[in-house]
Amino acid sequence: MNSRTRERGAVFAALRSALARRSIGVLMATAVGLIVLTKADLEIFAYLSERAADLVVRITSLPAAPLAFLRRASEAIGSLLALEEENARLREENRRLVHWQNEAIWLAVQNAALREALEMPPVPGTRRRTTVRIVADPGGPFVQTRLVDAGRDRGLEKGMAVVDAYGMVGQIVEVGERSARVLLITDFNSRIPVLVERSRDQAILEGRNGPLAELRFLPMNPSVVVGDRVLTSGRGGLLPPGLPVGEVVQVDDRRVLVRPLVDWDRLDYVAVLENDPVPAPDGRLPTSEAVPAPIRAAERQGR
Amino acid sequence: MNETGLSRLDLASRRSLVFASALLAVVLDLLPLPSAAAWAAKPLLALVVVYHWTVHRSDLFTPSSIFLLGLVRDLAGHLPLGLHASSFLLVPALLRRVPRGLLQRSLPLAWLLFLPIVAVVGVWRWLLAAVVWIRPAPFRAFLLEALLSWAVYPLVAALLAPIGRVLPRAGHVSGS
Repeated sequence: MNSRTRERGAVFAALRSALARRSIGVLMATAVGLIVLTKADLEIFAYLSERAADLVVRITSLPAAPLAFLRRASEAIGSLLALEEENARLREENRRLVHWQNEAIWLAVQNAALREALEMPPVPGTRRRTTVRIVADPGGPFVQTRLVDAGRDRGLEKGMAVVDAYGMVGQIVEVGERSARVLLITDFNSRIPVLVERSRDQAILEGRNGPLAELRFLPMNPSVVVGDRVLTSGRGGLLPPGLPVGEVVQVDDRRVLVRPLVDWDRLDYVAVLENDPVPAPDGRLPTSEAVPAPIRAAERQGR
Repeated sequence: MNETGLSRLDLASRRSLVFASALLAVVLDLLPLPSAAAWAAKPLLALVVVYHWTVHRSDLFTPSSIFLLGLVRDLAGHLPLGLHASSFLLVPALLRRVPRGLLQRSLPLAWLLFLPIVAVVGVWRWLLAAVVWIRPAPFRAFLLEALLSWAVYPLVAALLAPIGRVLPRAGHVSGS
């Protein structure tokens, strides 16, 4: 009896040791299998990922707040040290803003008059915005996404545009109960219908996982030059037309590259724009009313 | 609760410190950098922690724990499940034939050996990204991540050393 038990124990020990030796291989094969399965877009993975995002937002919100405070505190100390210089810069900026404010008022009046003359429908009002905080950077070098601390609980939906004070940051691609995932315009899976403000050339802005994005599917012989501003075209009706996206920084035979206007160094809080269910009719020029801060963007372009 | 129960609880909590520290590294990996730029690189702390515990306490950090950690990271990042799990599992796979005793005693040697490991993991991750998204991702991001992960190893090892001292000795770990 004892010898049988011992034999059985030895068999189990050998089996366990063989499994342990091969466990890495088995687990590696499982991991690769899971990658293939996940690519099949199964509902269960989407559900699990949504729940995980909600949890991540709760966890990362805790250290994100003190970290943001520390950063702001160090910035405040830095600006105290350069108070005089900062004061002069602000005076100059204020002077420029007043100029742009006058310009904007004049353009608004002119626009309303022209619309009336052409019997065009009035421009819809500014979209409702939800301010959210970026709390996690979950994609690493694989995908350029950010998690924000609001989801269905605050009316966020897939496809909504995300902007900062300068221009478009990205688009919401997944929404959880209390979290949402933003795909940045620089991610190489991001494709946004845009147009070049000066030439009205339509194109698709494609991310490259780097500081610049590329204009694809431009019309034949486009008249794009360095310095041109790129706006959302509103084609497809999902994104509002007229959002500033970037500035053309390189034009050659092979590609046209665009630098986004986003201020990546101060991206704590962003605004999510409500979806507009009515698509913009083809051919209509985008309006700049939905632009979050056109004056600042234009000023930046002018610098 | 009697004394045996308490000592078991104490042992279990000390054993769980290894996985808990790896989970903390995953959370730190998820925090946004001061610059949210898409191209801003940062170290993959979870990989550094996986390497550290595989060298020092592989009895408490089994391949199944590493696999689980990878799945958690993938779920948190909305990435295809298995992407990080397979990357992290490369560490014990590559270290299988390396005698650990010497690495445990010498930090410079452990640091030096980490360099080819992060390089292999970096290339693997880049290849996976290319296969999963059917286009080559910029290699620079993966290279920078690997180099930064390698660079922070001594710091992470120093932070994990106090945890290593409170872990139960290898002989006291049952079921490993």
